[in-house]
Amino acid sequence: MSETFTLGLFYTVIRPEEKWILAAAEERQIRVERLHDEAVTFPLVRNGFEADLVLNRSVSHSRSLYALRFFEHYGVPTVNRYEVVALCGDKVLASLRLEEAGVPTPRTVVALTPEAALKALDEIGYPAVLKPPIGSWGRLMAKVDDPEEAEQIIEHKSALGSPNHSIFYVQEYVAKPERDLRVLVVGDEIVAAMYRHSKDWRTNAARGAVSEAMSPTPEMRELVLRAAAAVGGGVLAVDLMESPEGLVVHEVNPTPEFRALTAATGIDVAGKVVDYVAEIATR
Amino acid sequence: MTECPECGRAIEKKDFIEGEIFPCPDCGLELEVTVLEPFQVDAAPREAEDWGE
Repeated sequence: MSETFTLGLFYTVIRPEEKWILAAAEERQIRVERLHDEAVTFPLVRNGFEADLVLNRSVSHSRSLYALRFFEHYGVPTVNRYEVVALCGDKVLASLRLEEAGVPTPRTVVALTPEAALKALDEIGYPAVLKPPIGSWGRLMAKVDDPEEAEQIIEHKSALGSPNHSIFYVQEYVAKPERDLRVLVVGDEIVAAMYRHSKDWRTNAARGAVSEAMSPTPEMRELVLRAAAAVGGGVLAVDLMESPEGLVVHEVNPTPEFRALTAATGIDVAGKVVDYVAEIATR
Repeated sequence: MTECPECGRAIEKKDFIEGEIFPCPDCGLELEVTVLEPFQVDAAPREAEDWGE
């Protein structure tokens, strides 16, 4: 297949995922313009880059947001779109959207001050999970078992001084089996899925969870596609938990890592992503 | 050939591409290929609070 467009790869570092994307583009004879998020500048009028479509692989939420908004401003389509990343990158906004779309998601209460956070924890009940609204890889998340622990954690979070830690996203602790599910969606297609096994309540691959390929049930597939559509679609990793009441979607990741998923399933996820991007660029 | 800025271990060029990150085989520090010719590596950027997937 030979394409006549230039793919902009907006990135922070070249991990195996980005390396595979570059290789998949080369195999398909797609020109790639590398746009390093530490080096690119964004004038109000487009200048100095050639990409016809930009694939966002930056690991920084803030850099992604501004850059995607600029690319949109320049009339360059992006994967994912600015709105999708803005929504999925903020757990508060993502939970609201999932709820609005009728997608089952863990019970969540948001509080805007440390005092209200204690109230929110009481409303959710212990144990509960406290997460920063923005952030990933399970970083600075806390399982809170009782009010005394809550006071200490909230005091520590407040001491960090960051606006991100002054908003408290409180979620029910879901008594799931020692695993969750990650399903990768590209456009309308579910391309790969895996269990992530971990004795830690956080099942992030970045925290050493063990991956195992799985075939989603029709119920899972329907739910995953509904969650992906609710946030605006694109290349997304939908994370689900098996709660005692049924499946719940707890996260939709807009710049998914897929190293573990590729290893577990043997599926060429990077190739699927590049084919999707090519389809959009040549539409 | 270059060396790890942390432990001094010799790092061979292999088939790296610019921007690629990899751990130093000796000390485990995450390294980034900053230049291909002449081959240079540096400590990879440190994870910031808003980093993630």
